[in-house]
Amino acid sequence: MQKVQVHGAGLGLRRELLPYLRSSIPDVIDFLELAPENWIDMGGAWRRDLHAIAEQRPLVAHGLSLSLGGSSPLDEAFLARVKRFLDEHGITLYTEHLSWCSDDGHLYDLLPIPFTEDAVHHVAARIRRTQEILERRIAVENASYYVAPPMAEMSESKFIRAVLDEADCDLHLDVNNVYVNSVNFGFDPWSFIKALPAERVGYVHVAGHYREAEDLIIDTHGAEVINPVWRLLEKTYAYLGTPPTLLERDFNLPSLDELLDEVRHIRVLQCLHREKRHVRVA
Amino acid sequence: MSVSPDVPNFRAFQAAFATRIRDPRRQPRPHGVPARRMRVYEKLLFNNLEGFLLACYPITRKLLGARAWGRLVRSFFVEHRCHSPLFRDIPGEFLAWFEPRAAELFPQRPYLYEFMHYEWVELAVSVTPEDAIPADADTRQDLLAERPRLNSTARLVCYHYPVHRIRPRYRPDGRDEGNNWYLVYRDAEHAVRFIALSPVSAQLLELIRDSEMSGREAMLQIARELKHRTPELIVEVGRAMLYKLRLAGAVY
Repeated sequence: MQKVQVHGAGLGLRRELLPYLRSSIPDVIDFLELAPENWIDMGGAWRRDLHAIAEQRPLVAHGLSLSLGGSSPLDEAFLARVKRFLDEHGITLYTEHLSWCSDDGHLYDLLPIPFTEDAVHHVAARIRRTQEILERRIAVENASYYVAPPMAEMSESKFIRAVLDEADCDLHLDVNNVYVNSVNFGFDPWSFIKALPAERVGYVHVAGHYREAEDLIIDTHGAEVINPVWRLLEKTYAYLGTPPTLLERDFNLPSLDELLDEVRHIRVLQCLHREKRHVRVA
Repeated sequence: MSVSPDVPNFRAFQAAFATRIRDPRRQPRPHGVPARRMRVYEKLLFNNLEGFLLACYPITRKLLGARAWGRLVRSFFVEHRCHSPLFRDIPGEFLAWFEPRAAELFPQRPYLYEFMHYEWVELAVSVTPEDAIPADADTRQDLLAERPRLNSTARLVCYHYPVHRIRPRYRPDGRDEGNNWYLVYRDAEHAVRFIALSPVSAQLLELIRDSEMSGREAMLQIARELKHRTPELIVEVGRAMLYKLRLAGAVY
């Protein structure tokens, strides 16, 4: 399949949305994102629907199980399957998380990496190997977390920068994760984004979350995006441009129309900032 | 996981953190991690794992009740290490882990493992990458004269208990009830279908699956084994079965 670059605004592909999307995807959605772990080697209705979607729009792959920060050996057999999957569906962009999700087995959820010098080298080497096997540059996402491992030797932004430099990969900036962490650990989200290497940001996520307490947000992707996160996204566009941006919604799915309103809002913000940049250039 | 002194700090932390998440009641919370935040991860990961299992075993969960089910999922998380990165493989790993423990954990429910297998087969058949019936298959051939083929997604399963009747309100009394055969397959519209089979149709489907016989040859063999005096009568029974199975998309 021919490879396509993504741009604009996208929506996470959930099973529940398939009946509404497989025959005709609304214009406001420029691309869809999926987790390869949910779709690799699936048959039956799953495969039929995936082909119907891939014929209409470009896809982005956002991995969940690679465990870039994990201790057990990188699963190269799995990466070979991911490579075949990406090639089969013409997927250019593959992103994963700056986190870990396995000990001597899979734990199936994302856990925080201690920000140490050793961890930088460990993660960067695994990203490099991943890029070799997939034969493409990947982007890694800043993760949300609830525990800051106590042996940190550097700040999170410094850790991210060091990993990206050493691995020579792109940054998948999750604006909601920055906001979640800023509340969970009491820092300024905008200063955090400004400390990241803007030139490496190739892809953006925005999502809703669950506020469990004044000082604790759980990153559920189960609610609408809140205004402070929209404002952070807008500032991010003004600062570094308008990379392709995805609305993540994994739980408590509302009607498709409500989701499309949020995707449309991403588009509006992108348009505004594209124009502003043009004006500045002119 | 035991950690030697030359392992980097961050890996030692990860091992301790994961150990605690798997078994919060027996494993210590790593140094420097606040209790409330630790609990966030303990709950998130357990609920996530349970969610993948519930999607496959909704009735098993009802049969067991919330507490016994929760204890079972916890034991799995503590004892087992899943090696597949694909979420759809978790229920199969759970089943394989459970099988040798079933008799000891649930002596009052000897049907439980088979019932879980029955719930799992639906998932396995729904996702299998095989095509149900090849696009170029001759779907109008004479099923007695020619060799019938089994739908490639089909699984022929046999249980000691009539698993399709098990519900929270109906539980077998523990007596082994002999052979209960089922054919589970995906039809042309990708829907998973279950057929409860008679012993004769099960035998016919086994022969179709495992040999290259024509429909007539398969029925004649069955007639011989039954020591039937009028084999042609059995062949006619087979004709009706095969055409019904073809109509249902199970053979072609």
